[in-house]
Amino acid sequence: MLNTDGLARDERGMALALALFALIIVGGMVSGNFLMGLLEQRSGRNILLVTEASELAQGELWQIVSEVSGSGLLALPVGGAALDLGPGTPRPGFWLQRKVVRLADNLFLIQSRATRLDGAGAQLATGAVGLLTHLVPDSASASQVLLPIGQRAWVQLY
Amino acid sequence: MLILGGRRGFTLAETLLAMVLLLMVSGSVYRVLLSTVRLTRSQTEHIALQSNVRGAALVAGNELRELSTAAGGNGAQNDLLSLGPNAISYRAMRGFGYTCQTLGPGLLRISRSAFFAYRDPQPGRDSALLYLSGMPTPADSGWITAGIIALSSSSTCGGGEPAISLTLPAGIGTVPGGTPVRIYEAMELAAYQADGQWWLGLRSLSSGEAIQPIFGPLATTEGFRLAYGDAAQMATVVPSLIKSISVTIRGTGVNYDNSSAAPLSEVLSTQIALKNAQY
Repeated sequence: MLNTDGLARDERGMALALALFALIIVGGMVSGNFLMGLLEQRSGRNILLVTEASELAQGELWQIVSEVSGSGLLALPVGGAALDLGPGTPRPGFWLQRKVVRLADNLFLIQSRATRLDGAGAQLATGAVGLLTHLVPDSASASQVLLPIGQRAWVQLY
Repeated sequence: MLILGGRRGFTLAETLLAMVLLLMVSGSVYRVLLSTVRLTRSQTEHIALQSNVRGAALVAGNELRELSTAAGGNGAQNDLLSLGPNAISYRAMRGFGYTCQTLGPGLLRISRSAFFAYRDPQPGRDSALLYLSGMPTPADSGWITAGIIALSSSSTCGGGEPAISLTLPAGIGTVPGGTPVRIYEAMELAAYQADGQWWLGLRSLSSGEAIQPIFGPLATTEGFRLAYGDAAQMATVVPSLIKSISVTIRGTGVNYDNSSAAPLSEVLSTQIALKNAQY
């Protein structure tokens, strides 16, 4: 009787082993590339989120300057606690903090902080800026308007 | 007895043909593998280069954005100390706060909750800018500069709030509560050569430290380029007239892709509007 078991074993090739080896090598390189791409994409996204938050905070500063009334500011105690101006216009995906504090008789610090949130409400990025302002008589409206001080009014907050 | 009826071996010609075919296939696979490795390394290098150039542009923007310039202004009003096409020195803002109490001459106390900075001030390295009324004329208000002599981080404000205390020269007089205080240090951002390559470096002029690389290597020519614009976006070299700074960073890297003999290169240009430039 012909015993073919020994022959079948001898005829097994290396093709499968080689193919698996090549697959692992190529798969590793492709995965490495994907990982680098993912990290790059995350890095870019983080920069985008920080920029979005910073720009929103920056834009909100000027919104506050235009909407806050001089008489309301003069009612604040000098050196007292900051007045919370509320979140302003709601923007999806952001949380805004707006404050003003009276530093001297006619010197006010406006603070604006924008926080980018994810779907679950966790903080992703924050941008915060401030503006040193003072009240200036406005001949047209016969009232006082809020304007940035002449020098170094813009402040990067952390 | 084992009979191998109908099964024969390979002839020499068959074996040679198989080996030649195997060599051809192996050679093709090897070439594909090599080119894939090169492509992977090239892409990795390119991604790292792009990321670094972007990071360097962000650092430059953060360093320069808050600078103040004022046409005809005095030294305290202009933060640009020296200009060049590939180097700039300036007052870099490191923190901001406002005093919580009126103390003796030259003494400041700032509540921690009213101090915004990524590090505490360092005496000898940092200086302060104070916004005081009566400066430069009795009817006006303005900023004056003073070096920080000493710092205490264990003091408190009136309500027991944690605070930092700064000692400045007594000559500046008594500083009232609510006075805005900026902390700054003189910095230099410049391209420099080391180990036969060009780098973008940063150093504190106030502390006299050696320049430290923040990005590199840069391209040999035009690796780091600064251009200064006035209010009309025209080129100027007068520090007090500058309203914006254009920064061009050209990074270079090893090119692992044989398709081109030139080294890998990445250029990023950004224009920084000075937020505190006076118009």
